Amino acid sequence: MSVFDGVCIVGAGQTEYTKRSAKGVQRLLYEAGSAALADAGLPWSAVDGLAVTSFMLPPDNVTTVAEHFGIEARFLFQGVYGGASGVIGMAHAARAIRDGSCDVVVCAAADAFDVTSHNATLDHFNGSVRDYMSPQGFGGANGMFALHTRLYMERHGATREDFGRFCIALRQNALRNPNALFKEALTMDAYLNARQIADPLRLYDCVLPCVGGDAIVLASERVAETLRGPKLRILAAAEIHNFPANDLYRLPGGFAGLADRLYAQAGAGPDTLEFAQVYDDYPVMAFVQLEGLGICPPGKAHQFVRETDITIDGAFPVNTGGGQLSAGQAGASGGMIGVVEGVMQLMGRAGTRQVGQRPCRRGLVAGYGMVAYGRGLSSSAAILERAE
Amino acid sequence: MLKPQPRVTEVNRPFWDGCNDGRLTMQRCRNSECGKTVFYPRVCCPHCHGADLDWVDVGSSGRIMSHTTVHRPHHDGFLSEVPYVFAAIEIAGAILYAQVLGAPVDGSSLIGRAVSVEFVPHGPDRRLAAFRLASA
Repeated sequence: MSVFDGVCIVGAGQTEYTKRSAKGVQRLLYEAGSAALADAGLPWSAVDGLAVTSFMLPPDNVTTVAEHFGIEARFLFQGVYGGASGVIGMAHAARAIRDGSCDVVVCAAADAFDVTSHNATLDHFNGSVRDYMSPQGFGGANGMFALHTRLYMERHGATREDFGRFCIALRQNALRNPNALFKEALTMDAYLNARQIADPLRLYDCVLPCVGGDAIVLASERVAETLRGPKLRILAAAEIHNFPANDLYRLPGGFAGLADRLYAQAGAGPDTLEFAQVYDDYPVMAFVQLEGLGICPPGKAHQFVRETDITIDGAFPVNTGGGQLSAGQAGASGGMIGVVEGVMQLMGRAGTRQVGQRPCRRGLVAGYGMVAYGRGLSSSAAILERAE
Repeated sequence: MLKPQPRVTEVNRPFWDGCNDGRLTMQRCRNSECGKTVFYPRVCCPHCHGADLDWVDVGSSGRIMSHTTVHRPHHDGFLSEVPYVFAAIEIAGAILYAQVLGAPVDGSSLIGRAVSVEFVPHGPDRRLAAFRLASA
């Protein structure tokens, strides 16, 4: 039994990831959605709901996207939680399907970013960033998370090498992902001596803004029964925002406020997971998720990556497609790339980067975002399982 | 090149006026059971949700909570200043973000160091709070 009984994930898809493209976000959302629908074996005409997240979409929105694509929609969701939106949109869509509001929802995210447009977006991301961080020279998201990284290192004794181990492992995973932008292995020497960005962060601690889109398809059991492909269940999903309130630097970033609910809803603990796809905008935030979600003890993620092989063939694979750090961050699609990777793994469609001898059965996906006054405000996570 | 400018509103005007006058001000909750200092400026107290906030001087001294040396700024208006130290500074229980002028940029830890405020020109009719390390 799951609170999402009657709902299946039936497809996943991704556009090509590129450093530059003339394509706009509507086209990227369409291509990602088309790939996910093709994977499911469903036509656009079956779609009666959309969950969309894109920073570059305004002045358009999910409603005008429905118009643009010609969809008569019974359910629409637009993510305003930054990188937490992918998981949250999936959960909201699943509730709508479960409650009988609609049958087939495409959950998609896309953006067409480069470094300049990424900075310009963040500069005006919300009122507190615009008025109390950007004029003061915060250095963008890099500067904001440099503050978190330094605090983490001071509090827990983590070193640059610990973050390096994480980034190098993700790069190893990316080398088996044909759509990842980084194509060469990362050495510790290259990591440690890369260009300085915002101390202690250097180049390979920071994501590469890029162009791309990611999507999954959710369907009611009634529709899913007509499809041939594998089906996944959402065992549990949880979100939390502004937690803890008024306490900017009490790591770990909200996840401790949702983990108990998540695992109670799943009826299964973190020791039953076969992989995790965490939101890796910066290695420190991946550490915070591994801890907050109970995959390792609080304050010990740096020791976890010293002792645990997190590559695809390792004891506990993390970000098996290379994550945003090595595949690229296509803006808001960064909140969806882990969901798509997790779904592909559980469907047994991850090709040469497939975890396990046969399709793995259960994994975790997490999101984090809406950076505001000094921290990201939104955290989300879900546990997905292959239906037998 | 002009740096990014804050938007002055009815909610935050006393803070920006204070900076121009050389005073660091923050909101304080009028609810006597709360009385917490609030920053950034809000329409209500985010601690007790009370409706009434007063503006008070919070002095000139703070403490560095965390910091970074920015080498690649987010805006070209800061290009001529890199590398510079940007920090989260704790004042009266609230956090303010600002540059720490004249601080070492080699990445050595400044966490816990005392700082004092000064107000630097930032654009047309606009002064911004910045800090210097207090002499040890």
